[in-house]
Amino acid sequence: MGVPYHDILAAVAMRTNALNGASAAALETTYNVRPLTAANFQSTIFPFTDYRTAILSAEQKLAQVIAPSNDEAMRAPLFTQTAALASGAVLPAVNSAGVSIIGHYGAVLDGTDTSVACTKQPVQVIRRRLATPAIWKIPVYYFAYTGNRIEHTRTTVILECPVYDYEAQVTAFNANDDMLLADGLMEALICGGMTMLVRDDEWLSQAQQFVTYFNNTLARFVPAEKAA
Amino acid sequence: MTYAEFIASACTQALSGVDANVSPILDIEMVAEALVPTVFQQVAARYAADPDKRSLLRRTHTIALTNGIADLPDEALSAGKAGAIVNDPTDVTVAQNASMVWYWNDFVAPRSGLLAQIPQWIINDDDGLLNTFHYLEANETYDPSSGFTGNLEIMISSVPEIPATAATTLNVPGEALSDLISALASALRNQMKAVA
Repeated sequence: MGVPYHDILAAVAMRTNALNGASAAALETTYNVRPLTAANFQSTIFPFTDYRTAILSAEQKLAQVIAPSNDEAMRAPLFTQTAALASGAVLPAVNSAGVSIIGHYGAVLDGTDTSVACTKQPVQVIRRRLATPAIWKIPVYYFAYTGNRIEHTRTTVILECPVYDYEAQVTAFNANDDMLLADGLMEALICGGMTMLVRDDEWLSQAQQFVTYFNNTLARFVPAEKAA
Repeated sequence: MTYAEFIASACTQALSGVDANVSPILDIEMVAEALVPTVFQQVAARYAADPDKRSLLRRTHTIALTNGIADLPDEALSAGKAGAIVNDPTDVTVAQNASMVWYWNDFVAPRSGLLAQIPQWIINDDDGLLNTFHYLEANETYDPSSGFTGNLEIMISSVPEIPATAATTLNVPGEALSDLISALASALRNQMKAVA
């Protein structure tokens, strides 16, 4: 089960007095409208689209912290795959669809059978294997990072990689799709959105309070050790 | 058992009794494959030296002689020559009986009587390697410039054939297969001792 983006939008808008409704009942009705549109908003400080910008900026921030962390469960929604890489290929900065990679690579998979993960070996072992292909009959699944390249003993390999596609998230937000990250980060996304909603000194003190909440969430994600 | 299964079995056996999470021999297939020729040689030599096991690794090799001389294939074990059998594949009408001669002086010496009626052969080190096969037909006198030309078959203890691909089946008896797996596992754990 997921959390639709407009549930977060409603919560953020409510806290900046942006929703239409002169009475509690009217406010309740507006709060539950799905999808929310500019017609449901009355704020003269933050236009309707700016709420999307604030929430997705917070989501981006969370993704950038989660991607290099050691929390595999939280990283899962961000993971895609690179294009197939021959041995000696430069490590890519984008995935197979051209979206920017935002954190450490995950598993290195055999390009022919992606159910098989490769294991790290010293580059000397791989170099020896590649230099004498005729004498080896047993397939091995080895790889090594050398500078900004990858060496391996397969025909090609595919790297798991975390990405964040802002344009895709805008589309998802507009369609009121479920949020990209785990449901448990709904509160963090609300808090993060609130931190962006400051204009001159409008809502400043409130934003400062939500920064504390948001930073507490960001701090729980511990960077994983980068593979040597 | 295929070659891939053989390697996998040996690698797994090498890990027995150790914590795989911290073992330095965990990702060891390439090392295992590099050790196979040595391990096969060691086990085959051990079998050749054991009269009860010598026959298990015998294989028939066709050798081409010119003037009574041929090179033995590399996988043939000279240590197994005592139990080797030599046949002329073109002569299937009579029971064949070729004798091995131990010493070169005996091989080249003139023969007479019953001894001359039996083909004889010797494995010599003409080029410094103990792999040259010499053959005298029945009633033939040794002449270094002439002799039997043609094919013979020699059944002799041999190093097991290394399969051509990962999917190729090992062509060894089951009794020898378990010894080969165990020997490779021991080699991976650096416990194999060289046979003199």
